[in-house]
Amino acid sequence: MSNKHSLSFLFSPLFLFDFFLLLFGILFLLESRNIRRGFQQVLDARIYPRVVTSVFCLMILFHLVQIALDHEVNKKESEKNKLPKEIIFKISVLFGLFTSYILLIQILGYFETGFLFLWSSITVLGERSLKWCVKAFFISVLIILVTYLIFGVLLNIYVPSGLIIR
Amino acid sequence: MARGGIMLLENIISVMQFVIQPYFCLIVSIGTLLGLFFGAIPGLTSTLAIVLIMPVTFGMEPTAGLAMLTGIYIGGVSGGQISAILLNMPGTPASIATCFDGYPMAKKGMAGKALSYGIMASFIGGMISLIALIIVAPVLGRISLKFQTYEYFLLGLFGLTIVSSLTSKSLLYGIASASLGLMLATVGADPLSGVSRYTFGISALDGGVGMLPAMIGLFVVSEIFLQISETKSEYIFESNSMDSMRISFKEILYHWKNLIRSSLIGIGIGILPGAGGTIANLLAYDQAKKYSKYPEKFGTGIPDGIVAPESANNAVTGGAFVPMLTLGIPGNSVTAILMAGLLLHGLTPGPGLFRDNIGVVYSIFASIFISNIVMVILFYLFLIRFFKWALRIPKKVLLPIVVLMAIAGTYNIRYSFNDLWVLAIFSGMGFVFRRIDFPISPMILGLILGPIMEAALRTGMMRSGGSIMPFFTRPYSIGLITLTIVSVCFSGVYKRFEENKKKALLKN
Repeated sequence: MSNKHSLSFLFSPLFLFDFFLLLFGILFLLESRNIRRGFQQVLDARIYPRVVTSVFCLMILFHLVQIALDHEVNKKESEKNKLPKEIIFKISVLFGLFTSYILLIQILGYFETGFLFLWSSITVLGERSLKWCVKAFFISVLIILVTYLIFGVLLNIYVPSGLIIR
Repeated sequence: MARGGIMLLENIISVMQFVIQPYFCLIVSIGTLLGLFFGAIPGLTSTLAIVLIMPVTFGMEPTAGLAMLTGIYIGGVSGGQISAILLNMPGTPASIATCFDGYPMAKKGMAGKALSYGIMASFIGGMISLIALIIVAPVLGRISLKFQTYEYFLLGLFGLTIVSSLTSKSLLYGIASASLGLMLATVGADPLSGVSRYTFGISALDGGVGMLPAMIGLFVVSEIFLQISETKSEYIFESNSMDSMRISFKEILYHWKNLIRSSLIGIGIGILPGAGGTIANLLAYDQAKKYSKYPEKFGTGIPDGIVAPESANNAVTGGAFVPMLTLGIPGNSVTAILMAGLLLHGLTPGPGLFRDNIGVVYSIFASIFISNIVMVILFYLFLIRFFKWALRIPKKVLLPIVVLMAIAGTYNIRYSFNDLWVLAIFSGMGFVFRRIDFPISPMILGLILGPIMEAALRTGMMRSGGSIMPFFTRPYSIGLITLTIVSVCFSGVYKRFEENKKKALLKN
């Protein structure tokens, strides 16, 4: 029981986060072997990234040790930071919509994809009802029209052209 | 001395000749309004505004064209505080530190006061740097020449250590964050030899990680996700109306030491080409905290925490013109674009500009003067009304609109879809980092300073033939090393003192 307790910090979010950072640092360090030296220099192209990556890995390693030593305190901290499931769902959906926006912007265009993004995200963030979905539709149309007026007509800010608005 | 006084008077009279021209004032006002608008909306930046308006200025006279661009620059720097204070999203990198106390102050129901402190500090910082520019521009230019590669590297190191200790509960995390920024800055082509690093054969990575998309992702879009996780209120603020913006002259003057110190920091950083407003606002905040009688209150929403970064970042604007006008070296990316504007109008920045086209120089001084005044008027007359209305928009509508702006702004940096992917990746990273309390300010500063520091270090080592002695023997280098050590020790001691105080309070 005491062993389980003492090793439980290995699965804490903070420890896992630091572990992935350390892994990233080590991969960065290993990848530096593939960097060519470049022309004759005192400090070639590989040395500087290696030094900063080593500093990074060292700091994360020390922090990992600190977590292991203060794991009871960190456990309380991470419990305070827990998000409710509904919020995690909303954030995940919104991030998915955001990524889809970037994916589709090249195909559908800025304003068209922007409208879809606005409509879906306002719907997700609001109440789950048909009335709100319809309201979100009209809000999105209005916002996109105003955005088009400001960006496209007044300021002439260049955005990816789309199927409808070029 | 008398001759110097007469020259100064002549300079002032020449500047005033532009100030009294209505057309000139109108042009500057339009530029300032545009700059404020672009600076205030997270995702859009004054650099974008300048790039957009530049073609419009080709048809104008050089003085008018430059005046408009200068107005945009100053408006943009000041506008960044609006979203920093109201939304916890810095409109520009130069407003990062404004979030630290601006947003908490707004959350306490004093958004109006926070904005007032910010705009007045911006005005005072801008005016102090203008005075410095008019009186001592050539002298400051000669000082900036004394800074060589060794000093640039150490200045970057100093800036990173300050920010690492300032913005994180754990110094280890702070240094790790700065190192991560420096690591990511090495992605792409090596600045000296052009060798590809960490590109994995992907051509999109040849240009490196864009600093602005990364900043917008880390600070703006991640904040959106954080705001969504706060379910307590439907609006950004619980009270969706703003408090009174009135602050007395006495209240402003109470912070006179902070204002002057931060402005001088801004001018000093601004005259160094490449250093920029990002370091200045963070450094000024750090120094304000160190010199304060109540350093523990920083971060809780106090005026000093807003006055310091805002006066510093506006003081940078005047300082950044010094190397551009006196030496023909741009102080930052914005002045680089302004320099391009000068060249396109057939004018060559540098000592020759003072000799052959002094009218252009005076017009720039005049536009800085008018812009700082107009900025305050426009702020109180228009912008606050607009943002008072905007605050009434519920989060579920406002936050997706901010994403829309962020994407437009990011795309317009280089017209590259790859930047949008950088934005997406850094948004996710920013959200996770901020939930875990991994600081992001050192990371963005590392990303900004990384190329400068690496180029400076490696060039310096080549010049000295591999010897590190110049880093420890040059006067400015010794000064910077001393400041770095003092700063790190002070932060370490202060943090230990705070921890012991907390433990003692818990025991009681």
